Amino acid sequence: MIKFILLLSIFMFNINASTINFQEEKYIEVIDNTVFKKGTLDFKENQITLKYKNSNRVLIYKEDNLTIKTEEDTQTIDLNKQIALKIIFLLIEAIHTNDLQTLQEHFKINKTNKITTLNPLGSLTNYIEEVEYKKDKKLDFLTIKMTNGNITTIRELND
Amino acid sequence: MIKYFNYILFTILITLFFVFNINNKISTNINALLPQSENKELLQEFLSFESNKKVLIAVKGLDKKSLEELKEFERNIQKISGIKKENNIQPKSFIQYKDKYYFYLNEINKNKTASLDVKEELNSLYNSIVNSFITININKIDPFELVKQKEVQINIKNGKLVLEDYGYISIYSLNKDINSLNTYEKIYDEIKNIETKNITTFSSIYYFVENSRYIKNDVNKIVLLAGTLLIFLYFFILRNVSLLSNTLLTLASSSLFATLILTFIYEEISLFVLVFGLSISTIAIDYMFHHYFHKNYEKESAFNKEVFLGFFTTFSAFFILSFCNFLLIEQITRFAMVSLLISYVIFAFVYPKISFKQKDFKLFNQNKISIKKFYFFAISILVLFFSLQNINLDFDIKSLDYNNKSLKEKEEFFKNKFDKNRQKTVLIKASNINELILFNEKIKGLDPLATSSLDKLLSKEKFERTYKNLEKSSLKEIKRSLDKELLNTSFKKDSFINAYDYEVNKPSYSYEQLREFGIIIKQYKNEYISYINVSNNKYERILDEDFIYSLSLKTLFEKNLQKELEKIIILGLSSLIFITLIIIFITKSKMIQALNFLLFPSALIFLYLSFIPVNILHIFMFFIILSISIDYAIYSSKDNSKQTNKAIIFSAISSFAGFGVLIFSDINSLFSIGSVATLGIFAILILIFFQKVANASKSL
Repeated sequence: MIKFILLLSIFMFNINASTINFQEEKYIEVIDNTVFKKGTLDFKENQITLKYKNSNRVLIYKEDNLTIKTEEDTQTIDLNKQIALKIIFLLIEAIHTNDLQTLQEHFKINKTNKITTLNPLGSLTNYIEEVEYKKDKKLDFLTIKMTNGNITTIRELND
Repeated sequence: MIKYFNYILFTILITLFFVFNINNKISTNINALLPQSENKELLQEFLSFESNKKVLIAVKGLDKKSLEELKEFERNIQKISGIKKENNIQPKSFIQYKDKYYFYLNEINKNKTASLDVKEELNSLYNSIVNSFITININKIDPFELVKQKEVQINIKNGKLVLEDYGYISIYSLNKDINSLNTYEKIYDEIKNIETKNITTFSSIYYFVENSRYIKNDVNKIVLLAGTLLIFLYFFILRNVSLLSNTLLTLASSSLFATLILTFIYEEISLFVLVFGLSISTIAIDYMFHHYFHKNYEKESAFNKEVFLGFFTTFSAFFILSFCNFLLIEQITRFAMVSLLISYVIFAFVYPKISFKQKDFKLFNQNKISIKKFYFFAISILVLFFSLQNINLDFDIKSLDYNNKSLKEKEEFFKNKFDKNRQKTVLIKASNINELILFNEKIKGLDPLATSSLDKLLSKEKFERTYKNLEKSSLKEIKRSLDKELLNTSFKKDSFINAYDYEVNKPSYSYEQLREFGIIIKQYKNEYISYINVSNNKYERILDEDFIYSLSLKTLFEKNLQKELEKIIILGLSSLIFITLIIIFITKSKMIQALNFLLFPSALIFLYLSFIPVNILHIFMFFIILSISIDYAIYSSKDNSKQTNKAIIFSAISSFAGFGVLIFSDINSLFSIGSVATLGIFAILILIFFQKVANASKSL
């Protein structure tokens, strides 16, 4: 019995914690070019940590703040002043946890052939044009089309 | 047939009341007391701005449970028809407009502009784009961020607005076509149904609903109390059921007739006028008592001169006051004149034909204590002299309304959280759109902290001034340099084609375009109106501008009153002089005894008023008490028999049932009337019981 409780508590402790490897494909309109990067996303309760390969910067999203840590210094940005970036983190978190309720608050959801399309509501339309994603057990892709012409696609990589 | 006269008349009038849907013309809104003027129309226009119809929802706490509670409430409130979530979507046309006049609507950072190295900035920009996280936002008009960025003041958490030191807040708005009290009530009830303990909601429409319900309940309570008192008086003391039913019907008919007449003259009448008018109608009851106790209803035709003189004096006093252009007084005096006339005619000419036999009963034993009339006279003059010097006037009509403390507290709570500078709102009016924008710019010059939705617009005059300043800056040089440097970078050559280009045509706006932009503007006759929030310490100065209009009920009422004050005083004094002359003429040697009926109630009333802020209804009620007193002065000086005293006592108690019961009201306006009436009636009863009088003359 004690073993069972111990196992259960370990399982419960980790239920919300997971790490995924991903590839970011970013089309930047002003340079008419696509930039590729790889990195990891680490999900804990109410916190996302983003690390890029070959970069010494670590990004921590927690409670509407983005903390950027380098070896030299730490900088914190209030994401309420950078709504576009904030919504991206909100999207990643909601898709990862399959939190449809949060998505519904900000987007109109359409699902066809396993691909989910999100059309922004309210003031989000000022930043985001459309979001598409396909997720089964893992995230096949998440594409975010911004109103400024930039398009970012994130794909989960196998471990 | 004549026996049923009162029943027939009442049936006809009540039918007309419902046929013409008079109920809809009776307003519980305090604004209905404001005279019809441009200011009132502007106030009504302001109240109909969509921006005034918000529903604020706050939930206490910033934890997950509070967030879930708010989300659940939001899901429910969205199901209520007529309510939609506050929409912050900027139309594309507005974004394009703001981009076009970007350098005119924002302030340039002169230091940064002067020392800018375009090549270095471009390299830095490229690096930040390539190394950005997930996405990046670049302002193509101002890639080097030469415009001073305004600090965003809002606090957001988990996608919701945050109220400092409290919790989350959400804002919803009502459809613009929701304007009637019925729809306000429906929405109010539905919101209250889904409200939980932890959730607080507020909307300005709550005042209409809560105040109206409260006032209606209060009035019902008062009417019930007055009715019970009257029924007790007639049924248990007079023991004449037929007289009771006929009198009640006569009073109701005269009030209904006056209401019908008033609603034909005015678009809407305030419930306050109606309550006041109904109370005045009960003055007429003394006409019935005098006829009744002098057995005039036992003969088919009997003319009672005292009653006629009493009626004539009261009617004339109201007639003189009715020349006042002040809406509240005008409506009440007209109501009183119509209602008193109808009652008098019925009591004096119809009742003798119906015929009522008096039933004998003993009312009281003669009191042994009696005070000389000169003592009353001297004390009254002294008290009046001292108390009149300590009168403080309060003409804020808001203080007459029901004091909805809990709702005011809620409003204060949201105001404190949102508007820390405690701004005041003023209305702005201009003959054309450019002038409206120009006026707003002028106010911004007087008060830099002033805010308005017009801030996003640009007058032709400001455009020209800014153009000259931009010409002096190095923006043109930066643009040339940017175009040149772009050729040597990885940026698309047309990426910043519109950057730092301020060569645009003068702005020109149409009304439809501004509505599309979401600017708060309205067409009023051939002019345009909007509003500005100004700092408290600049408010009075800004009100001096010709194009600025106050939205404060207090200021509007005071302005109107000041305009009419001289006339009101002249008319008031004229009616006082008229009353005094009539009394002197009628009572001759019994003058002091009669004048005491004016002076002693006045002294007692003004003694009380010298301790409190005196409002318009106190003063008006004082005149009504005088009008009642005149009747008693005439009756008692001409005939101080037991019959007359009985009639006066019954009339006084009836008047208390009409006016005095208002002292039990929680609404300040009604309480004001009640307090003055109670004191006045109390003074009259003291005179009846204790004033030592000489034998009255029996003839006129």
